[in-house]
Amino acid sequence: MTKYVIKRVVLAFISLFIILTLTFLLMKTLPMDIPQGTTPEVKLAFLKTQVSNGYLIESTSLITGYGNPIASVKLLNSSTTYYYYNRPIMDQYGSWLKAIFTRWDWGTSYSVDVGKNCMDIILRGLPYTIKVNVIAVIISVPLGILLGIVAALNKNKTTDNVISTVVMILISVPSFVLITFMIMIFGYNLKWLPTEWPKSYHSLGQKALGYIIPVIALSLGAICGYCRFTRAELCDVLSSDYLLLARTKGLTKRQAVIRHALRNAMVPILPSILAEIIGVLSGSMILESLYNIPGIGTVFIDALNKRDYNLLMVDMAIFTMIGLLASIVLDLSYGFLDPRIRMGEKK
Amino acid sequence: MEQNYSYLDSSNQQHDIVLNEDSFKLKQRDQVIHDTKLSTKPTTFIKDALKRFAKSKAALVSTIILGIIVLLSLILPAALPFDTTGKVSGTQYLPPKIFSAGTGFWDGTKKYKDIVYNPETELPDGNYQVSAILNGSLSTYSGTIENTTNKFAKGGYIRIGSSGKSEYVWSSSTYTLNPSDNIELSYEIDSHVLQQYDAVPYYVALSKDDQVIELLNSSQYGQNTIDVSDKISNVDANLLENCSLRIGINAVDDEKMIGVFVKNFSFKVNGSNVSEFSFDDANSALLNKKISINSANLSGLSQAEITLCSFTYDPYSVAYGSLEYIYSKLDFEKLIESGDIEYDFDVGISSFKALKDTCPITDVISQDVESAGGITVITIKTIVSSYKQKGYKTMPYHVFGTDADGVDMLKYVFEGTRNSLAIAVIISAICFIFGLCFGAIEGYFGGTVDLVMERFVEILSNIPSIILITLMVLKMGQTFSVFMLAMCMTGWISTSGITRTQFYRFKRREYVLASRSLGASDTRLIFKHILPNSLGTIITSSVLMIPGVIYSEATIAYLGIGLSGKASLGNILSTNQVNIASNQYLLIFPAALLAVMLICFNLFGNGLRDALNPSLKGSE
Repeated sequence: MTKYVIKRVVLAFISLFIILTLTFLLMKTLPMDIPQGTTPEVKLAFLKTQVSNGYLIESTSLITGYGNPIASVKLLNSSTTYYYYNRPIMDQYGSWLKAIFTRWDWGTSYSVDVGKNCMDIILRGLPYTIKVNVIAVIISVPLGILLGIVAALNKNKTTDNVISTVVMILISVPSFVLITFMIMIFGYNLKWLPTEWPKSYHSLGQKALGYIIPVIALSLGAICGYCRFTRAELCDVLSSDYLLLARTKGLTKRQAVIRHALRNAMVPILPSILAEIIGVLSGSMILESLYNIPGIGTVFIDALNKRDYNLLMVDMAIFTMIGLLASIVLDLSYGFLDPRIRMGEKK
Repeated sequence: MEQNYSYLDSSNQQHDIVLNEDSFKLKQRDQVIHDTKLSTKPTTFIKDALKRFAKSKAALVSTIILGIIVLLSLILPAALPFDTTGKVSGTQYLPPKIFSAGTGFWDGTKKYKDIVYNPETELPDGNYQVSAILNGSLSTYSGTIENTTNKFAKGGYIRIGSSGKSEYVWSSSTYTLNPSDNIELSYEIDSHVLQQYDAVPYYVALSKDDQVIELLNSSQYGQNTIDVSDKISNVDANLLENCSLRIGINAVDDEKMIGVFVKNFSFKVNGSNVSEFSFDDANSALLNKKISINSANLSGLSQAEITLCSFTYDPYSVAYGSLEYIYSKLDFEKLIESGDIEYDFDVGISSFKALKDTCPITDVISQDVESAGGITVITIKTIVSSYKQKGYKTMPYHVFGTDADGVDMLKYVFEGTRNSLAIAVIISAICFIFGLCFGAIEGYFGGTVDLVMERFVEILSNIPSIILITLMVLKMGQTFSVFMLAMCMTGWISTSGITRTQFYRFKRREYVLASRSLGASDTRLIFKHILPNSLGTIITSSVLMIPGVIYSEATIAYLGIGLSGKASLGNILSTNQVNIASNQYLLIFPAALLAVMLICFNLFGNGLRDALNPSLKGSE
């Protein structure tokens, strides 16, 4: 088992490294914009840090062989003009790796929040994303599993049909359509809930109300997913031979379901919940931007729209890491819960 | 040879059975025995599947709805006469209309509420056409306005509000005081006029340049009259020369909404009102700039009294109704020449006669002669019907309304649906075929080939698809082909995975071995033997790819890197998201259509899966 775990983790790190390297190299071939609409001092400060971090070359005269300068700065009260050139991409890659491993410096934002460390911007947004998503998970997991159990125990009866139909409909509707309708109905028309994420100066009550729409929009899909999954698994187990044996040796239906069926059905359900809990960190970008939640999804869209590649790069790295972590946890927890399963293992 | 048999029946009576040679006869001696033909028709796999599919009501209904949507998306864009390619002038934001105006439901009218009423003209204040206000729908009531001052308003409070920061309002003009003056402040100040503001202490001060002389600092609300003469008795006379008044609040620690509300402020010096510093009508004080505010903050007018009105407005009559239009003589002559109208310039307006139905002119009001610089210009003022001028035969109805560009949403939304569907089908087809080939090669050859190809899939599937698409669009530009390529990048992985497992399952079967020993080539084995057997499972698991692509397309459109310049459901939704407060119909119709389409696709897919592979029924 230990060997298997180590192998999975090492493989994940290698994947992460390859993905990040490719992303970095691709990003660096894109034309990088220099801070726009800021004072020359801010611009100069940004360029100076880029120089000291080993991404740019500074020169007081034009140099040949490095292409066109990406920026030239001339301060009001000095006569010298500074020209800035991109270093070769592989040099920049080296500097980037060095910065990450020695200083945990993931680069500087240059259009969303000029001069600010990208990791700080992400960390600023992360709490909002986590808060909304964790509440959504706390609501959706028990509710989803409960509905799934109810549906499975009443298989092919009215209760099951109603639950399955509603689940089928809600799982098909994209969450951004759900949140759009919710904002329209409860926000603008009935005026019960805020139409966007409450600002910091709003009262505590308003802030609490602000969670309702995004949390429900996020959890509805998840509830339906868990419900469907639980129902399918439980139906499978309920028709198995060992459950028949349990009933024939005299257990009541309740005992059989709780002691035998549920425990076995949980084997595939539990890992997917664990993976989901990690997966929520990545949040839902569109939901966040539609409700103006200042989370990392909004940061991603902001960076994309303003073409802030440094910030985009870090955001992508975070999303990729979370995705990899979720898949490792999913596979490993399968192994822990049911030792017969070794995901990805050779025959 | 004769033998006697006997038996006892239930009532113990003996019966004899007599058997002789004649009792035994060959029944079918002369008949040829054949298999009898089956009395029912033979069924094929497809027919059987169709029968099962037709039994599932949900699947059937969803197929019919999908069919209608597809049909509409093909017919409507071609059938409707509206222009969806660019901006259409004059028809912006027309509400949805099916029934004629005044019926109250889906009738293309807008209900306006809390519009400032102009008592002089007895009409709503603002750019509203009298003819478009539905008869009898105008009703007035007294109300209050916030923030913006209005010349018809009176009274109210001056709100000094802020998001936790210091904030003040100040008098625009200055006044000179003496240290020996007797000052009395009398005012009314409230804290919770608007619920969302928290009460804070307030101050009244005199200010000159950067110097502030505080007269009062209190948290006592209600009506107050306070003598503050002692506050200036020790102040340098220079500071009191040409000073201005300041009423403000100080910052609090956390970022709450704080504010106080002031009215009837009077500043009495030696018993007489200083008009520069006093105000009793907040609206007029702010309107006449007697009191200045920093409008970037939350300060402004609050609760000023005004007459408001509500009415039902018919924008269609503005966009498509009758309007005055002035023709030049030259244009008019052209119309006469083309036989549209009959008109004699010497006789004048009484000679006008419209000859054709398509002629937009309904009446001529006057014929004017202007002469300037020796040149005489004849102009003809007419009433034209606007929709005829725009080329429509009857008054057009926009069933889904029109958007910010004046484009008819019914046509635009179904164009979008058509494009989304086309994109989804094409991408699904590409992904399916590629995934099939990839998986088939992996599964059939196995070994090193499989190992290498699987690692490639593993890395690709570990990158979140959003990131992959973003990178590609950024790198290669936002064009149609890049978009298609980006969407195809990861879509094929699931198909290839299933194909691979299916191939592993079937490649060791005896019939494959038999065929191989007869000398069949790899291609033949793959396409003639293994693939047909595994196709059912692969197809059923790939059916849900189409709604998946529609969903991703919408997601990418929301990120702002979707198809540029083409109508698609995602693009329509994301561009109209700004109208969520004011023109919700622009979102309701495309969002509902998208939701219905995705639900139907999923039901259809599930029905198809159950029909093709009944053993999977019920499992999700």
